[in-house]
Amino acid sequence: MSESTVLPEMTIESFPRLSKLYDDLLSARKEVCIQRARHITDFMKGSDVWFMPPVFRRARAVAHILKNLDVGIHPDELLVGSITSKRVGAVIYPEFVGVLIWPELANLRERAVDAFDISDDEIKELEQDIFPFWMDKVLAWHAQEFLSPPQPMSLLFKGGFFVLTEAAGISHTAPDFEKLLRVGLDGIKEEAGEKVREMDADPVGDPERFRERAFYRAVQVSCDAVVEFAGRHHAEALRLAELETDSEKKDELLEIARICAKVPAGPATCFREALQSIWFLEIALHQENYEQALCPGRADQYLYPYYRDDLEKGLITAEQAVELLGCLSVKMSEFVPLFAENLATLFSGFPANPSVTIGGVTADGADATNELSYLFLKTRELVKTRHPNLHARVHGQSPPQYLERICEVIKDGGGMPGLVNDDVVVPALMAKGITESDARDYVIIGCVEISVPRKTFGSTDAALMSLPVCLEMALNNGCSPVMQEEVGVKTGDPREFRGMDDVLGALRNQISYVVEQMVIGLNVLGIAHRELYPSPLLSSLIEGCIDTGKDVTAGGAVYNFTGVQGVGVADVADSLAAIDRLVFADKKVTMDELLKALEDNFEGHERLHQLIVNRVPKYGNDDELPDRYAREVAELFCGEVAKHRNPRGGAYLPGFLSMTNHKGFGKFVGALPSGRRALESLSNGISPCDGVDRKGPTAYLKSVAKVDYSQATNGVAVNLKFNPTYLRGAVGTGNLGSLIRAYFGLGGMHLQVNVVDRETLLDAQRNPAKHAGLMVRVAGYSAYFADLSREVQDEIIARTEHCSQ
Amino acid sequence: MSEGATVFDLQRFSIHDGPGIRTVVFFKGCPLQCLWCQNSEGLDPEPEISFSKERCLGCRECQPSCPLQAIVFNGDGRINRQLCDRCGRGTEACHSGALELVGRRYSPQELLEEAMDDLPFFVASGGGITLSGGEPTCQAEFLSEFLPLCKEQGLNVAMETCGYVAYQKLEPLLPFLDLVLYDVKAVDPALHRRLTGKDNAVILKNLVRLLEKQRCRIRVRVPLVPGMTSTDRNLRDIIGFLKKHRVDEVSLVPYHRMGESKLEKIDSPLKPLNLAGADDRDMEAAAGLFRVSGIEVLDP
Repeated sequence: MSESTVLPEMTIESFPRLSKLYDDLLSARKEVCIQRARHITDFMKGSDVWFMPPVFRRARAVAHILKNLDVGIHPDELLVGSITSKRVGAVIYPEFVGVLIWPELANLRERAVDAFDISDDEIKELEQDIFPFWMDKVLAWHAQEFLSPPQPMSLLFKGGFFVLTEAAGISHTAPDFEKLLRVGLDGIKEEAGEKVREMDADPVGDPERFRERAFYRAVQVSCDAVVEFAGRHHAEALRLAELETDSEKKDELLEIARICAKVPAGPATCFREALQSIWFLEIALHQENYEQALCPGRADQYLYPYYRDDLEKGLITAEQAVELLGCLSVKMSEFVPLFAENLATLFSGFPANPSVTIGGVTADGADATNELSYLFLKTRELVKTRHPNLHARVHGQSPPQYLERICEVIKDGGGMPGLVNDDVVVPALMAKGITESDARDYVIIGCVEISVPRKTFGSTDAALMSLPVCLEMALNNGCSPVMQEEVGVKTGDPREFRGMDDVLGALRNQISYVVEQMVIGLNVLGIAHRELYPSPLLSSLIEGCIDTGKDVTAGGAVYNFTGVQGVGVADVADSLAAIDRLVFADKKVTMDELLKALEDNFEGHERLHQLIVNRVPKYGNDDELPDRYAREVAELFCGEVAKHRNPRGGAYLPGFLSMTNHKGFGKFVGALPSGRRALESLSNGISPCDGVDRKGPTAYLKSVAKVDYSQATNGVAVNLKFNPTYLRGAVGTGNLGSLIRAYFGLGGMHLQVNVVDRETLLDAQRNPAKHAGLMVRVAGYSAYFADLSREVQDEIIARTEHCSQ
Repeated sequence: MSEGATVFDLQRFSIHDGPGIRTVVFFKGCPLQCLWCQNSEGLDPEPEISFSKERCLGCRECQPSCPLQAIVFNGDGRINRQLCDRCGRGTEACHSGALELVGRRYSPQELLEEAMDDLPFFVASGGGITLSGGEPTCQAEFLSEFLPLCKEQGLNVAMETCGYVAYQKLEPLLPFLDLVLYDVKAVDPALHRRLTGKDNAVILKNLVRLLEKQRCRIRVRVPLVPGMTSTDRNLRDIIGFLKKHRVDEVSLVPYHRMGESKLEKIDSPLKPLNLAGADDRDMEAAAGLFRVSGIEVLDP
């Protein structure tokens, strides 16, 4: 790669505009924006809405929001338009789980985790006008009232079995921005119009097809609404230009006005237009769908023709492209999710994770890395914004300089880019029925989930489920000790178990049962989404929907999946290894003694606890016993998940990532045979338990690579933490690269690396203001350390720091 | 057949002990006794019992396991070293890991198997294994069996040595070694005796002979111990010696205090130095001296 694309000499000081925008972003307070909530409430209170088909009603609702959102252009911006009316704001989606924040409004400004500013007037409006209207219209309550059998919702509300994220929305996809840039929204609207004309020309046929008319009209309304929204930015830019005295700034505003008049209605014809068009769609999609993981996808691929064309015409330089990409990163980071306090613990650090994926292979299997891949890395190095979540695809033939550059950026801190292995992912996707060229086009969605862009409605973070609670039920004949409920299957008195086969059999039955309940819960939510809140705008950018006349929520996409995560694999694996070794192999304790120790949380059983901690091998040390159990537990969960189908006609896909749910689920799990004490955190993603890996990163990664990822097609998260001094210089960079290559060669699927030392983290805990820009990898995402709850901060400090000497 | 060698650690993902990602094999036994020794458990050639008092639960379950009554519960220590025959039974009875057996006997085959655990990482990085200690040349007989096995596997092998060994023992190892990391601690014999307990004549002589024979495979390393080896005078002596023998590259290894916490655990004859570790400024100052004399300073 040439120097001009790596831009080695460029620092943030070389980009004064970007530097200022980034500083403004970092110093802005987080605020709640109630505009969307206000406008959707106004619309839905209208007397004629009950008369509209749901898909059309949704399009009109979103159009109403877009028509009324404030339009603001901040000084120095090159890309304009905002998801909220605040500089850094959170959107409320009252039709999903937005009302959960109601009881906490008064405390929002002061709460310990994820505090937000909100004015008294705004609180009053929410309490008096907005939330009361939605109380009986929330999606999950509809599902519970009309669709669901009692058991799944009862397990959901107990808190410790699973979290059904779909109650908050589906989102989690990478829309077809390539098509958007090629044909514009006018082109998409025309396609829908053409479908209607076809239908009218041949009105006899499937009597059901007239349902599709409402969908096509909804697509048209949605497209028009976004174009009109862009038009208001055109007008605002002209107004500001009129007032501007500085001629350079005036020209900038006129250029903004020109672009907003052109895209997203029409095709983009240059790099900057392409970015602005995508950004308008991001804003609009966030009004229709909740804020999680509406991803730009493989932006280095579909933006490349625009960049190359501009370069050839002399319209752009690499520096200018980086400045524009930096502006986009800042815009994408101006919104954060608002969680109720109990959920903020599960999703700490404001993750919304619109992700960008770079590198990898092309549809025909060649290396796809291009200059833009490097410019995305450079941008990441310059501005450490929370969004986009950047992932780099790596394959056996990835160029050495690409991996070297990735390692340099990782060493610069902040945990990005995350890495994902094409050589494992592509064949795994093909085994799930995805074509080879589509599989090769995969992107990372949200944290670490895997999906084919443009064609998939994959609900990749539909639910997270606790595996350790299943082990507990297997060891307590269907009862969860902490929740004190006999909810599972009767799998017998564990004292009667004759060997590990009996333990594993009981575990399988409990996992099977909880997976089933989770799936029922998701299926009713999926139906509720289809019936109440379809997504016609998103559907217009997902292949298959316009062809079939079906919304994404009704199964219109080419690929329809539901992704669910198993949490706590390592805890279960280490527990099984301990039972195997101590109870059955060495017979050092009886099952009864072990169960008694668990019941007592190891108090008064200190010797047994020490025996487990020190003398039983743990997953993460390249030791066959626990590694085999990690593999088996993962297979067990994957096998149970794969049995089920969703209401959109697609399969369930298993994955192993936890956001920060391992903390939340941990509060419902008693002491485990792994030696973990009651209510402590569980393990993160598919990573080993914190602090038990004692043989260094190679042993750690070998253990992790022994899990079979061919079934875990929803994606997994693997964390590694290094002391920066150990990886210093070119030697450190080179060996980090070799470590990654060898690990991927062994069959590893994913890796994310924190390069930060303990002292820095401790200092940041004491003096958050001094480290405002300090970013760390949390789970499948990065966050500012200061934004994390104290317990998540402590976890990151507690993770084994490799090579700390 | 050798009777095997006593190894006290295999440290994986070492990236500063030769090229690439390496596994360092620490042999027990060393002829020197450097005041700053970082691996004091490498001095004694036999396995020994270490005791970490902060891990002890005080459960006394170890006591009945010792037939010699060498485990004692008065005072900070736990082992009566006069009575202890290092059988290791007490460590097996200890669940907390307070008592641990340091050092395990390996046959060449066993050691090879374990050292190759990270083979995929060696291949990806151009790394391999590094023999260290203790002093690996104390195991010359074992190495004469072990090294050919390594070469059969195509492993890249480096060896760290203090050089205090008969040349006849050292020379046969050379064909099997890709790199020798050769410590030079002091040139003045009196200073060397004071710092390490032994004379340096054989060390310097061996180095000169190795350089004559296999210059490309020898890398000189200088440990920088504040006030001991990194004095201006000693560094200038070392530079003079290296110049004389046309050595134009060197690695500098900073002293750190990590090793001192181990002294108490094994009741080592060495005493804590209570020195601050060598920091970046010390390193840069020393590196500057070498560079102005035309000796390149490489990553360790």
